[in-house]
Amino acid sequence: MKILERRLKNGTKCYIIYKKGYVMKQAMFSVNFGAAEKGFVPGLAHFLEHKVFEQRELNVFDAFSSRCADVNAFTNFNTTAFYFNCCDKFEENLKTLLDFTANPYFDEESVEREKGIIGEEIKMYDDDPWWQVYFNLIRAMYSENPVKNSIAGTVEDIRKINRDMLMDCYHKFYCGENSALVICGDIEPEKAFYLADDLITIKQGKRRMKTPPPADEIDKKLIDVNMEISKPIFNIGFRENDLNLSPADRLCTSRILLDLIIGESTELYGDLYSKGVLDRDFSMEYLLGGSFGAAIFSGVSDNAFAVIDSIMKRVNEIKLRGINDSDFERTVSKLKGLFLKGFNSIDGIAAAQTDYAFKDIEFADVYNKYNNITKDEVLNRLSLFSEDNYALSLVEP
Amino acid sequence: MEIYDINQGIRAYLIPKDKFSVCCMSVLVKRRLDRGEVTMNALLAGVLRQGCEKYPEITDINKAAAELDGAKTDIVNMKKGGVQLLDFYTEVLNNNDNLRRAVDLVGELVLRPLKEDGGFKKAYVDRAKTELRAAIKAMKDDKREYAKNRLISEMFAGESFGIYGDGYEDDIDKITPVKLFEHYRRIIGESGIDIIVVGNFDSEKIKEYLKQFDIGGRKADLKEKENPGEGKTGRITEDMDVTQGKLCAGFRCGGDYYTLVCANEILGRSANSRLFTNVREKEGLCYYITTSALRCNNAVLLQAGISKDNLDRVTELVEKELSEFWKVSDDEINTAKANIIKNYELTDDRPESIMDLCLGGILWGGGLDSAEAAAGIKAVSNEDIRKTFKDKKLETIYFLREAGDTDENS
Repeated sequence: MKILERRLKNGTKCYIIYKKGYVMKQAMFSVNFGAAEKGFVPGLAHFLEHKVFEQRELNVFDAFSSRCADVNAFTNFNTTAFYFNCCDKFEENLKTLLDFTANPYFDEESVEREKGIIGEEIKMYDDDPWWQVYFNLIRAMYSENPVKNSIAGTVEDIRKINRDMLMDCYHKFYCGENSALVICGDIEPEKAFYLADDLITIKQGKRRMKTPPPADEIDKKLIDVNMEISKPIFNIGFRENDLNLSPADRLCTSRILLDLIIGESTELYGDLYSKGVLDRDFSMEYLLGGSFGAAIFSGVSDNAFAVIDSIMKRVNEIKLRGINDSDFERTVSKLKGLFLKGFNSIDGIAAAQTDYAFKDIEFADVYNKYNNITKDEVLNRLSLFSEDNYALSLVEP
Repeated sequence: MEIYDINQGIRAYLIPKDKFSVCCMSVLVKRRLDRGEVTMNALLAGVLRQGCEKYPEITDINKAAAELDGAKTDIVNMKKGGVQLLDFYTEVLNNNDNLRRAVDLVGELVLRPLKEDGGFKKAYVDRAKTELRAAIKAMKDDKREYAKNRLISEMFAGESFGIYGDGYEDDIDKITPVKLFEHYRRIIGESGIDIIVVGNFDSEKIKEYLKQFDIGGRKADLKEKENPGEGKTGRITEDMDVTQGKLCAGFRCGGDYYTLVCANEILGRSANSRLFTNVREKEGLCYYITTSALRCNNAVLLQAGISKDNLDRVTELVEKELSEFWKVSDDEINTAKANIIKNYELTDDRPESIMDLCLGGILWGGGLDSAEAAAGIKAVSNEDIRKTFKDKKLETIYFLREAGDTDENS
């Protein structure tokens, strides 16, 4: 796998990732503008994502479909991304992608119609307990950080949105320095770069200033809601308290630590599993944001409080006794293996590279970190797990 | 692809793809879905994954896998059409000796389960029972999936396909560790077993590793129970405390599978399908509306998230599309065919999709890989596609209705 990284003439960060032998070719154009924005109606970035597809004459879906390409988009905390995948006619598809994201055209009436569609989308997520438990946790963990905005907003939020608001945001954020283009597949990198440089039409414009994260505290220790489900589900989040570490350091050290605390090879997991406190749906992740971060544990349990107690006990035990070498080495090689496995999927690579582009991380940083990580670095991260630093989100029957 | 028989009824499908760094393997024990044993088979997955002779605790198994650069192993109970499969799965980076050790680990799980007092270990069976009970109850948690499962159980009642893949709560209690162990011994001895290997591997070496699965010939008969007629037709409504109603409806089509795939692409699979364009984009009645063609029995399922006030309108629009389907143009058909072929080709980029396509071919005939499937699509005539939905209506409509007043009574 080869990666070429260069800026296009308008300032867009461009990454070309060469994957020999793959059928799929994907291009993802993204802007550093997502749901976690202060001073906007919640849901605005996501609403705009929907409307960017609308053009003066072109039907974007038909254009891609006529060339057997699929087009889609997503909005997360920091990013709005538009992408297609295809097997051939890459050049024409890339042209369409870069054209349509540079030329949205919609009227007030279509904004109103979109409210119906997005309203149904919001309702769909309202019925998804795992979505609810996750975003309630995010809401609970932060008092100020705009990451607590929900991605699509509420039905009430989106009622306030109009065409002018959308166009203002578009002009402000959809520009060269604030955007990235990731191309992934069996494409000659230099050729792809010159093609992209030739086709890019979005205007130049400055990268937005990084604002320091607001002074923040845990907003609520617990958010507990009821839904029609069979068993309680939980998300536990320990909020990042050391944003000075590099993103790759934060990511690798915390992933290793989480796995050592309660990964599926640990005695603690085995114990909680056999007692029926946890089941196989248990998982954990490190949520890496530019101005936030969190270690998140997620699962099904009648007793999420027992899970928290066990985690805290185990953290204290590690503080006292340390980590033995064989556990540490196994965990590092496991996580490095999982990281490498990720490069088997074009979708996965493009999404990860886009995510990293706005967080200033390179794949190589992560790989190198796994190669030279020390036990002390990992042990230093135990400070994440303190009594006053976590929140719990529950969805109960 | 290389296909060879390890023994009678135990067949390996080797699909080398060097572009991947991983190798994936599934050892699939096939059973016809049957009310008499579905619950036991579902329970087996939960018991077997907790320990085997060599790795008696679940954490021992997980450690053994983690040591192979983070290999993944699991045992999963799967329903595919009217067939139930116990899938012993592994995915491993093909470094060093990892692959051999991962195959051996799967071998331990399949061949040498942990035994105690003539049965499975009681604590593991109890734990698996709790888990299975929870899984059966949790079927209601994903409303969209629940609506689909409910429709299938109603529409295909009396057929293997109509049986719930996780089994039935009422059947759990009477299963004992000894009975379950005997059942496992029986099915391992008599069931057809397919082993699919995809990814980065050396064919000669893998054949060597797979020799351990030569556990005796068997006559693998997998005739599904097909008994249409018992299934319900018409509208079935269930109320639940959800924000958005979930619609799942279906009708049988018969005929050629690849013809149906083409028609389905135009009707409701793609993002510029008839239904997406007319129901979502033009009328704004939903966020998602999609149809799928079932390879197991050539039926079509429709899924949409809609408000109950729109149920009649959506049904009407869907049936209008069905009745006007003969008008579909050659251009539309050609675009659809090209899109389907592209999607088949794309399966070659994902080991799990390659396996899934292969498994479909094994169970229901037709193509085993993307090239064979693409050839199937190319052979379909445009005329046949236009006739696909002739006189078709939504046979069975299941609607999970949201709370609140409807327009009529508000």
